[in-house]
Parts: sequence; structure tokens; C-alpha cells
Amino acid sequence: MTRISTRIIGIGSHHGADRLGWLLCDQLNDMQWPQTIDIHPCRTPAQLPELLRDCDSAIVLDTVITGQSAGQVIALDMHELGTRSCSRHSSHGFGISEALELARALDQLPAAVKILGISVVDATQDATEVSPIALPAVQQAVREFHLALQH
Amino acid sequence: MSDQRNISIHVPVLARVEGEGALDLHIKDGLIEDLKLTIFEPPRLFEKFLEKRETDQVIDMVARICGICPVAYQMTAVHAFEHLFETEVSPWIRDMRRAFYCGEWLQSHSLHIHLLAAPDFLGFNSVTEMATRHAAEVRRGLRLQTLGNDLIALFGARSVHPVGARTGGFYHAPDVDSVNKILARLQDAREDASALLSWTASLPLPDDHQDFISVSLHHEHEYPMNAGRIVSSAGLDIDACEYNDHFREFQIAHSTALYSLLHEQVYLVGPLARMNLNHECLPQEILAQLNDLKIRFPSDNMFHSIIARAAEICLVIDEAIRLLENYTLPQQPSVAWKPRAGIATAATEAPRGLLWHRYSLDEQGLVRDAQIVPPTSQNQARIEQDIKQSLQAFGLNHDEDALRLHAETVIRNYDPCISCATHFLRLNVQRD
Repeated sequence: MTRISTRIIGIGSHHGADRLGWLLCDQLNDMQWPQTIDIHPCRTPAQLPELLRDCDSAIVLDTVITGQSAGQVIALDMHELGTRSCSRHSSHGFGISEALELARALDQLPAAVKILGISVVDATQDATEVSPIALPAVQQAVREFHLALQH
Repeated sequence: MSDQRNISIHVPVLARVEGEGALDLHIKDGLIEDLKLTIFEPPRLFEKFLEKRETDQVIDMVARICGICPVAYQMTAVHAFEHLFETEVSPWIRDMRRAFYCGEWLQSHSLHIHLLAAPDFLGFNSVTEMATRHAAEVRRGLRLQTLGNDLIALFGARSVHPVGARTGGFYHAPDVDSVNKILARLQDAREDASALLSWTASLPLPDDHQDFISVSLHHEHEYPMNAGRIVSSAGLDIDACEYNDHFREFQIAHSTALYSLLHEQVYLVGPLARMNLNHECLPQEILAQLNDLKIRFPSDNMFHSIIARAAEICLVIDEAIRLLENYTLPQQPSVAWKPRAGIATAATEAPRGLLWHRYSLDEQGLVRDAQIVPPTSQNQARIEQDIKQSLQAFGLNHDEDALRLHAETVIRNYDPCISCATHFLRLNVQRD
């Protein structure tokens, strides 16, 4: 079995703009990637620690509301996420920040983790497609992240 | 500190539960004068959305009621429709539905034990804190949860809001290779489950004995999931179609979730109620381990719920192994059915307890109206009663932080799903 070098984890659901994380996974899956890249949709942050256990690095995709225009991609490191946790709005009060901290406490956090937030304006508005700005930006960020790890 | 002080505690948002609610507690002259578990999440109106829908649309829609227990909603609807349509399913379909349901109990119970309940009993604020001292246990919990999710996905194509179930069976039968891979992981997980049961029995659980009525399904030949009669520790024994003759749902001012009473009495549904009424159906090996651990069911200690969940994890792993070890592909993963007009009712055991559905269907099989009674709304009155009794037993002279933590521990012990019940906690304590 090929060791997963980078796992791309799209957090999402079927609802509103939250669907974007899964749509991005679908579209990234249709592209050519090295065998060591694995793309995995994820429903709740509680699933993150197990998904992070067997990979060397990870990119977590999720929708964010920042006041920026729709489709803008914001790259965050773990230490930046800590101050931006929105666990009050997450299932069981367990958000991405808490999930990554749990993975760290369990000593199963990959050496490199990047969080890509895809900006949406209205969380209730159904996402039916990935914005033409977001997809190339995410694709580029994944390539750069993966390349940087090879060096 | 005097027992006669008057205080009010307000918990604005309860952590580690699904959904949004609050708790208001008013203590006057050392006695609880008023206690309200306030559920303020807006009504989700699912029953109305289901009107004029076809049965298979209903099965996909009700899965959206809950991200943790979608299988329970699907299975309850499926059984209601098939009962009305007099659809006879094959033994393969019956067995695979039970295996599908085993996956949901496994992931839901593992999530609750490790991420939500256990930190309370070990004095941690979160699973992340708990993981610094109990990493092996947390890893084990996450492994079990992942296995449960993967078992759901085997039949439902995905673990959250699965899409594999339909009236008459499944859209697709999993291939033998995929089943064998899960089977091997289930066999490996048996040891984890047994260790988990011993660990939950070793937790410093409060010794809080209460008098309550347990309600669950009961089946003559198996631990209940998909089938059985509705029974209670007070002697109730009815078919699901008689539910509305015995249970009353009603609205109260401080909650957007309906309350429910049995013969005007508060009652309990969920793993402890199920274990209290069905422990004799457990496999001999699990009964022997409980006996060795000196855990006796029926139990009147509400905090034994976590042990009941762990015993049910052992059960579902054994059951899934039994159901999958001689797996073969069926000729058809579903059977044909014909719609008819009438009233469709069924009850199944969601991880959090009894789930009851009633649909009125027209000649084309379209829903005229629907009634869905989830476990959390049935437990709401019991949770309030439990908090009152538990806090009195705990001692109202404790400071507000201790009272708040104890009340939250009691609530989390029920694994309430406010998203299902509509959705939770703020604690307001007022002492006059």
C-alpha cells in the first residue's frame, strides 16, 4: 500500500454553503494527482484525528465567513486557527481547532497541516458549484504545499 | 455555606451536546423552586416537509434529521411503510439492516462515551485534556467510532446521511471483498470493545439511585433494534401502532421540542432503559463480563448509562460479526412492493432510545401527514426530573460552578440530541 504523503480533507455536509468542502473534494478527485495524495470528504471534525493518523501532511478544506467576497481562499496554519475557533457553532462544540488539538494530544498530528478556508458570503445559500476563483486557488495551494514538502 | 441561600444559575450554552439549549435553575430557601431545560432552537418542521412525498423520498429526507443517527430514522420509516404495504423482506435484507444499525450504535456510542461523557467523570473539561492522560483509551474510542462509520458506509454509501436504504431493502448489496475487510476489522475490534466495557465500569461514576420508568422495544429472540413490542418497567406491552393511545406529546412554553409522557408519567428511553429491559438477551460472554465487573442490570443509577453503552458496543460488534461472517451476495438486494392507503407506524431503537414514526399515506403512497417522536423529546421531562433529584442529592450548598458542572454532567449523560428534538446549554441559577 502506498503511504499517503498528503491527505486533502474536505469538511462539509449537504446543507447550504457547507456543501462546498465536499464539492471541492469531488472536483479535486477528477484531476490528476500523484498517488501519494489522497482526497477524503469528511462530515464532522470528530472524524479528523483518525483521518490524520496515517498521513505525513494534511490540507483541511472548509468554508469560512470572513467578510471577503465569495470564492476567496484563505490559508491558515494551526496556530492561527486557535484564535479563530468557532466551536460554539460546531456539532457537539467540537470544531476543527479542537479536532486538531486532539490529534496533537494523541501524537497523531502530521508534521505539516494547512487549513484552506473558502470564503462564502451567506452560509444558508446553497452551494451548487465551486466558484471559478476558488478551484484554481485550492488546486494551486495543494500543488505548492505538496511540492514544498518534497524539498 | 448556608443551605438557606437563594441563588439563580444560568447556563447559557451547554457544551458537548448536539444542538442548542439552556438551563435555568432557581433555588429558594435551600430548595429548587424552578428548573427549566430550555430548548430554544427553532422548530425544524420536518414532519411538514414530508407531506406529499413518496415513501423512498421520505427515507432519504428523514436521514437528514440527524447527522449522528440517520440510520435510525431511515429504518423506522422503512419498517412503517413495509408494515402497511405488507411487504415481506428476505432474511438477507433483515440481517443486513441489523448490521447497518449495528454500525450506527457503534459510532454514536463511541462518540458519546469518549468525546462527551467520560471527560466529566475523570475531571477533564474536554476530550483533548483527557487525551493527555488517557491517550490509549481515546485512540481506542476513535478506532471504534471510525469502524462504526465505515460499517454504515458499507450499506449506505456514506456514513452521514446514508443513501442505501429503500422500501423493500437496499439499492445495492455490498461486494464480498468489502464485507470481508470490515469483518476482519470487527473481529479485531472485539478485544477493544471488551476492554472499553471494563474501563467504563472502572470510572468513578456518581452513586445516584433514582426511581424511574424504563421504556424500550423488546423482542422475543434478540436484543431489540429494528423490531419488537414497546414495553416498560411498569408493565406496558403494546404494538407500535398503539403508541398514541398510551403516550402524550405536548408543548410547553420554554421548549421548542415537544415533551412526552406515558400514562401522564415521566419515563426514560435510551441505552440504560434498553439494558434494564433486555439485558437477558445479551450474549453469554457479555453477561459474564458484566458479572465479573459486578455490574447488575436492571440498574437504577442513571450514570450506569455509560456502562450500558459500552455493553451495547460489545453486543453490536458480536452481532455484526455474526451477521457478516457467512455473507453472500443476494439475488436481489430489495423486494418489490405496492403502495396502499392507510396508517403506517413503526418504532425502532435509535442509539439514544425509542424512535417512533407514524405516516398517513394516500392510494399512491404519498404522505398525507407525518408524526415523528425522537428519543430526546421523550427524555426531556426525565432529564429535568433527574437534574432536580441529582442536584438535591449532590447538595445545593455547593458553589455555582460545581452546581453547573453537576447539572451539565447529568444532561450529557443522556446524550441529548437537540438537533433531533428540534436541537442546546445555558444554565441560569437564581437564588432568592
